[in-house]
Amino acid sequence: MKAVWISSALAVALSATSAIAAPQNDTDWTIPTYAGPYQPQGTDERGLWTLDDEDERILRDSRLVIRDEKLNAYVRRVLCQTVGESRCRSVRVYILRVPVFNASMSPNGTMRVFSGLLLRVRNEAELASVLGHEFAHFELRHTLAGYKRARSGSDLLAWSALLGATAARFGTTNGQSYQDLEISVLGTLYHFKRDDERASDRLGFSYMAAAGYRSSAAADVWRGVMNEADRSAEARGRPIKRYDGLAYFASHPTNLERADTLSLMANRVPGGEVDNSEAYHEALAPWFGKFLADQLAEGDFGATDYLLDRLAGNNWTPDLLFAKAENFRNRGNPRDLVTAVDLYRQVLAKDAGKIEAYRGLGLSLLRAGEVSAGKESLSQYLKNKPDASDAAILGTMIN
Amino acid sequence: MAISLTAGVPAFANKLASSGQAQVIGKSDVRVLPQTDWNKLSARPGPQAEVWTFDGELLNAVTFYTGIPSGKPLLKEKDKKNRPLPKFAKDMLLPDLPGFLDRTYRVTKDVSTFDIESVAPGLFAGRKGVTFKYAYVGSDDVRRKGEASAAVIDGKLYMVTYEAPLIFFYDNSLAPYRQLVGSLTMGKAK
Repeated sequence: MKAVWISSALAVALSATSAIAAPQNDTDWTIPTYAGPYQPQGTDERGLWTLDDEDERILRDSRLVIRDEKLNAYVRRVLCQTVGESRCRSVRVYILRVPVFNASMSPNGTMRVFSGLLLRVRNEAELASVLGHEFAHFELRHTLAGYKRARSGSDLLAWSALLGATAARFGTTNGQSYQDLEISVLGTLYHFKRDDERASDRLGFSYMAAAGYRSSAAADVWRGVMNEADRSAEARGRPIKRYDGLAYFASHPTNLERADTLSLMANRVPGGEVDNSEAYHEALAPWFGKFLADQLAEGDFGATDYLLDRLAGNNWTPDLLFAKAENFRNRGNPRDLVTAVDLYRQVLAKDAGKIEAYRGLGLSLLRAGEVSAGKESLSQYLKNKPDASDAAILGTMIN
Repeated sequence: MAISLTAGVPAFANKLASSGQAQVIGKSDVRVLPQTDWNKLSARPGPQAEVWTFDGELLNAVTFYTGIPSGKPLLKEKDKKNRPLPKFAKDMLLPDLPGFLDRTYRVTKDVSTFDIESVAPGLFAGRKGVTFKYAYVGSDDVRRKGEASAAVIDGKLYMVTYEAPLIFFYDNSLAPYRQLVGSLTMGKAK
């Protein structure tokens, strides 16, 4: 009896949820009138909002949140430009120092943007496409709908899918014992249905078009992330073309077809050509080196190598070349050390002031058995950086 | 219920490492002579790893790694297919070891920030090696500090690490940890 009551109550709630509509077809790109942030109705929804508020309180105090005012203001400005001022007011943006491609938005208006996303997108248009897409899920109340779908399911499977998603945020099943706190900080991931994705894509494109951003950026992002997953798997000797191991795809079903659909849609959107890549690089500059170092420490050779290629395009800056060299040195096979030595030398040829390259060069040469050249390079490093954190140990290696 | 609880005990049979009594680490020939009572956890994070603690491993943990062979990771794999751990290589140089620990923790502890504060020459059981200090934030959002001493001996990695929350706990057990490291010896018992 109880079960019947619950399911009928949810059926009512579900029908209320589905009242929000995205633009109906691929030729209609008008943005629906915004009714303001949705207010929870009924015990079920109020309960979800209470949990969400509590998660946000824990998130707000987390050490993982990047507090840099300038960076926060910039990301918020891109979101506001994309979805418009009135929508933007319903959102609190938190940037998390987590080197994973992800962004999410929860029902109470908390947006989480991971540093791994900021490292991967190359311009404002690409960032806007992801932020707009996530906001569209929020405006269309997909998270709420997903929650209700799972709640209304009578079997355990739906619940385990819901809970399982939370474990997938790092692209892995997580056996840690203190996962509750992690969930609060990083956010619960809900599965979205393909229909939801399509609706969010459409609304996301409508925002991009209204804001004048280059709409094909959306497809660029998806292709990049899928290629990265392929390269990561390939370098680890795993079969390619599986994207469910990636945090973002754990909640967003996708495939190559979707990227193609996005391309097709992008061709039809009467959008602008705004990329603002210079403004993007300027805003990210103070953090770029740190985010690159975080990515390198992940130890995912294939993904990092692809990511660097994608970021560089035809313009290898000393920073990107240096990161590529470090990636090879970290893997450390004999042939990798040869490649690393070559890359460090290229870095120094481009920018003699990139002192860290002497360190990497020296250590690679020493490891490869070229002792005198290695010592000379380390000496150069120590001469220019006598107060380096590892100066004491390096000092013992040049004598 | 009572039976299942009793049956469960051996799996968590932690032991006391009494002060003044020499202790062998795992099945290795590494020995240590504690001057304080420590708890030896029976759960091992890896085949060549052993954890000692005062108040529980989240509050203060000393981890001994005794002879990680080339090609093996420091700890047990968590998700070998999707996120394999970095492997130790015998040609790694001493300055490479802090980075190796960093890359391991990114996976095993889901560490987001790992700062290496200093890397200096040090000793492990009287052998020349490296001592380094670091700090990190793990997935429980607690900032911890750490200190480690490591050496590569006969192509195998030997290391001991001490980690504790920055607030109160780190300073509180640092002295007994350093005493442990100072008492490390290797080789057959005399």
